[in-house]
Amino acid sequence: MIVRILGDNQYVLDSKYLDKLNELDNCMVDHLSNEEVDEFSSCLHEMIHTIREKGTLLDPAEIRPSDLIVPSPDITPEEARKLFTEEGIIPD
Amino acid sequence: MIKAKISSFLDRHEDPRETLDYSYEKQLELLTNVKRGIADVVTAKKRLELQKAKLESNIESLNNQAREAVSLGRDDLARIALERKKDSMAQIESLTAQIADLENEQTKLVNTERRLSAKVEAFRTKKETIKAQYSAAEAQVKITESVTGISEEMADVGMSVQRAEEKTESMKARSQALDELIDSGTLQDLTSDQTKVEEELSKIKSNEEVEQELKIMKQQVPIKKKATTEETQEAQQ
Repeated sequence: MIVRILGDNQYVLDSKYLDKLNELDNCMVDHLSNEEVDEFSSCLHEMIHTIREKGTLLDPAEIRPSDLIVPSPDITPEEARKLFTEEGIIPD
Repeated sequence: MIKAKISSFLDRHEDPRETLDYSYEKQLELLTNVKRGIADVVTAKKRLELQKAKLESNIESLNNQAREAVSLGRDDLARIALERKKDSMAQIESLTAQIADLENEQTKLVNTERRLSAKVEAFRTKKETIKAQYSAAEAQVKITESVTGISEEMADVGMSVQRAEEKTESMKARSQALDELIDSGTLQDLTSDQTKVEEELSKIKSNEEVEQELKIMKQQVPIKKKATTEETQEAQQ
């Protein structure tokens, strides 16, 4: 699957990591709704770290829609609130 | 959020080939915006660097003035100079952080521009190929995929540019406020003629010079007087 990190790049990631990403996504949504900013950003960073470490960079000349889109690592909680729906960024 | 933007974009044209051309035009526009964004960030950064340099040279003069004031026994003036030095140092610290922030934004935008350029070029090639084989049924699928893919890229780049713009705007506002602060004299360069400390120091200095000259004169004049008296005494004896 193709994953985009906003403000960064698109990565090709094995879909076996989807469960882990989903778990981190829920973690982000929960902490955001509880106003736990530090916990929120640690979930986000773990998610981004997983994508960068396990995935490979998509050739910039390739034009492909992403299966998942995750926020940029320096997103503020305010921006995140605007970006998130109740289900998080990964649709169930 | 991004997906919604893309679907409205796709619905706009009945002939998908028009969608390709329209999308390409939009991509070129966006590329121009990214370039403008980079230029704005560079300008804002340069301005902050100039202000920083100005404040740094102020610190040097303020230090010298404080030392001079101390040597003249004017602790009150020295205190003013040192307080201003402290203000300038705090401003420099905050400017350094802002400059680093803009530097970071610049790097990100330059990378964004590189990535988008590659994608736009790839899209242009692909667009012509798809248009040439449009009769084929699979062309429709290819169009949807390319346009969706590039639209997603454009939405992402658009957000980065907007973010950078917001940052430069707020930096501009802050840097303007700093200019006003420097102009209003709060952080004024104390070496300029109008400032109180400089004025007083030069007054003291010129007073000192007068005193010094007077002292020299006094030394010269009494010698003459004394000589005259001695001469008179000698003459009398």
